[in-house]
Amino acid sequence: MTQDFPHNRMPAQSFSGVLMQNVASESTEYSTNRGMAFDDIFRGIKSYRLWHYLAMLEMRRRYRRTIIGPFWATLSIGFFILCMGVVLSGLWGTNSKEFLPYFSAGYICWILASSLITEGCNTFISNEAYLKQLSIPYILYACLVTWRNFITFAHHMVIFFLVLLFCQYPINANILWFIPGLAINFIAGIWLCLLLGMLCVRYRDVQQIITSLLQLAMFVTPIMWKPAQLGAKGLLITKINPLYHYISIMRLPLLGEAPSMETWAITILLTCLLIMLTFELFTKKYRTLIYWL
Amino acid sequence: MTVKLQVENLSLNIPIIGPDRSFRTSLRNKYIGGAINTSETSLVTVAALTDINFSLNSGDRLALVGHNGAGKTTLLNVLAGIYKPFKGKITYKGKVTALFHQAPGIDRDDTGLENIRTIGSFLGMTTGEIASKTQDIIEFTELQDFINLPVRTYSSGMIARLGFAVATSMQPDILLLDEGISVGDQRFAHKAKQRLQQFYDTIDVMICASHSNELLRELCNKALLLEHGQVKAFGDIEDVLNIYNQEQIAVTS
Repeated sequence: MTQDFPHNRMPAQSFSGVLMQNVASESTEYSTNRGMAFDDIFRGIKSYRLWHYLAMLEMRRRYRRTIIGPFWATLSIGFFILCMGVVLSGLWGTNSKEFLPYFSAGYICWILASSLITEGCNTFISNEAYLKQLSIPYILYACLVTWRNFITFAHHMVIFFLVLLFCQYPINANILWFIPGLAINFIAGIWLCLLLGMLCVRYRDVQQIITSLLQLAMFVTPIMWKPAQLGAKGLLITKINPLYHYISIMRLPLLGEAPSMETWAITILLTCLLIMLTFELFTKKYRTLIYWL
Repeated sequence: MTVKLQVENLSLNIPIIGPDRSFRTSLRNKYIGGAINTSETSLVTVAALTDINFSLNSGDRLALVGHNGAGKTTLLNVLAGIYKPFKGKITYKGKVTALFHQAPGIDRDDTGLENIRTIGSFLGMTTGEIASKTQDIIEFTELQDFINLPVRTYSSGMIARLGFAVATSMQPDILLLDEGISVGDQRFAHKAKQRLQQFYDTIDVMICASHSNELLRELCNKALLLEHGQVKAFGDIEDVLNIYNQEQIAVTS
């Protein structure tokens, strides 16, 4: 997908002492792109204070001088869930007290996944000003986008618990599986934002492709419907759709079910693949990334 | 005297990517290929810096001089770690801070106090450092109760003072400057000059790019003349500025 630049083939000597303004740097030597990429990732993840601060700063800016802040998004999603939940449960002929918890959990998780993907495309594009002024590890921007979306997700969870209360849906110990599910999604989110951020900053077309695919994905991922409703076809869709698995490891525990071993295996495997692919690309294009902006 | 900063064989080619070098072109090159497109597969690059070598010791203040487009800002960007060079080696000893904007990340809707934190963390100060400097910054800027109001209520002089005070409260070992630090508000000029002098004195190594020879003479003791991304001269500031001025005379006459 990416073009091989002639100067990348040049025998790179060494570039040492990547300075970090947040971590006082003594000179360290890196002879390879790989060393630089490793260092970037290590330092970026370590400065969690900075990405937390920057994420909060961005949130503050977005909802400046509003009274309920990020809950505006929550409110609009809550309203959507309420209306669509009633309509859909009517369409499927199910009891809305049964359907609403399923739909709300799925939809909130879907919002997290889709906003991670769309904002992931802008990881570097929207932070151009910082990238051109400050020497901050690149992965920090991916962490920051992911973290911000998880903070928003935490706000949205209020809806789910209100729905639970309203529908008197029982909670059981399986909800604890939600924690590893969330962790896998968080790790995958960081690497996805890094990958998409790199792709979109180099090929501005990619963002358009992803946005249009994402619209479709919402309908082929079982959020508004249950896979069982489609019979054999539904089973196939759920098997090949990675988004379904990533959403399942969060949605099922919330609904009191343990995700299957298959789902865990698929998400863990896919996450590892994603990390490996992204790391390779990141290593290869580490020096070039800034010139793409 | 210890070497604080060493640059060896530094070269930088900036690849140019335009809309024609998009996804479509890449795909076409990959699958259509052929003799016609061979020239398009090699990317257009601009040789911004070629084979730069120099080293700075403790106490050195380097001035970067040269015409527009000679590579001064590019070199600063490489030294700041923003541009990653494709070839060459840079060795630092100590903490490097670039001050290209006086108040990076300033937000007009945040209060002065919040902005001190934001600007501080962008300039590479730790939370503890910022906390310990905050009182000093507030006192210097004489903002008093304004510090708790949004920056948009400030006069431009007040904003300049805030940025200046935060910038001059950091303590890097190596400082990179583009066009010096402006003092801002007239009424504060004297007070600010004093603070600026104290700030410069604490810095071990400084590199400053500017078009103003007066400023450079005042701040620096060494100079590096760049021309088309290459080092034309390096040494004592007066010698280098003489070469630079003679060249300019030669060009105009």
